[in-house]
Amino acid sequence: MSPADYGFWFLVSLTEITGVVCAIRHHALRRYLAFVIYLCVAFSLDAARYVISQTSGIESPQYYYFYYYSDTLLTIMLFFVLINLYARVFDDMGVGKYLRGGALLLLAGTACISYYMVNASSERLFTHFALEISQNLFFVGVLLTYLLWGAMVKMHENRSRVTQLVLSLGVYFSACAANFAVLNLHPQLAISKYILQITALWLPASWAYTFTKVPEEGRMATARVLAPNR
Amino acid sequence: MSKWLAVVAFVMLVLTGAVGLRNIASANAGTITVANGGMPKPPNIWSNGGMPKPPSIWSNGGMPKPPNARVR
Repeated sequence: MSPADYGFWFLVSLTEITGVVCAIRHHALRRYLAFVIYLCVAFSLDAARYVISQTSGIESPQYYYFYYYSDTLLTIMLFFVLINLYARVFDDMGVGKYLRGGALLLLAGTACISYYMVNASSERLFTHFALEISQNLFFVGVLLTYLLWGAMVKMHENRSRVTQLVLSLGVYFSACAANFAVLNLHPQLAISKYILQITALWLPASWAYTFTKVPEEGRMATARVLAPNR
Repeated sequence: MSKWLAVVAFVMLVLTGAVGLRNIASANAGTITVANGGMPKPPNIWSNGGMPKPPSIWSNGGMPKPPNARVR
């Protein structure tokens, strides 16, 4: 690991903890429990990755397997964070039951497609399935975020905090998807490693900012002209 | 009943879109990899968290081959 890797690891871990502290200090723990759980798990897994990289080495199979299995876990958790935002945006419509059902159906569908993809390849290992479902869920996340954003614009949603959280997820998913596309075109691009770490820094930093600076009651000034406060 | 049908339709739309989007994102990967003299693409370029990505598993002899969109 280079000094830059250590630096990014430390910064990301620090930002994740800062996000949790900000959420607790600004009384967002109960309302945004999924976000806080994600940040706590991300911090724990980052710490565990660090320990494994130091004890077994970054090129060891232990680090490889732990890294990708934990990555899949984090992607699934991010999916539930997104569903939490859906529930928050559509809470007035009383469609919680359908949202939960849809989310489970989507997760099961993604798992089925991932299994089919792995099953079609020559080797059938659970590791491949974990990698596949992680990638597919990421693209599901990209699409879901933009669909939610479209629905929010259509519904004249003006809650600043929810809007900020949705947009921060949109930036994160988009940056990862763009990096994926660029890396497929230029597999040897050295800077891509740092782009990934910067995007990892973005999510907890933007959430920490939102919990600190944007009050729960905050409304967007421009939207107030179009629609009454909710 | 119609609401559940709408949920199923929405889920299928999202799944189709996501898989299509992923295929578009990795559409030219095959040609690029071949052009680079057989150098494989990284096993998985997603990352949640700050730790660096493990090195290419082709350098570790005993490791399983990662999924490859071009093989499928």
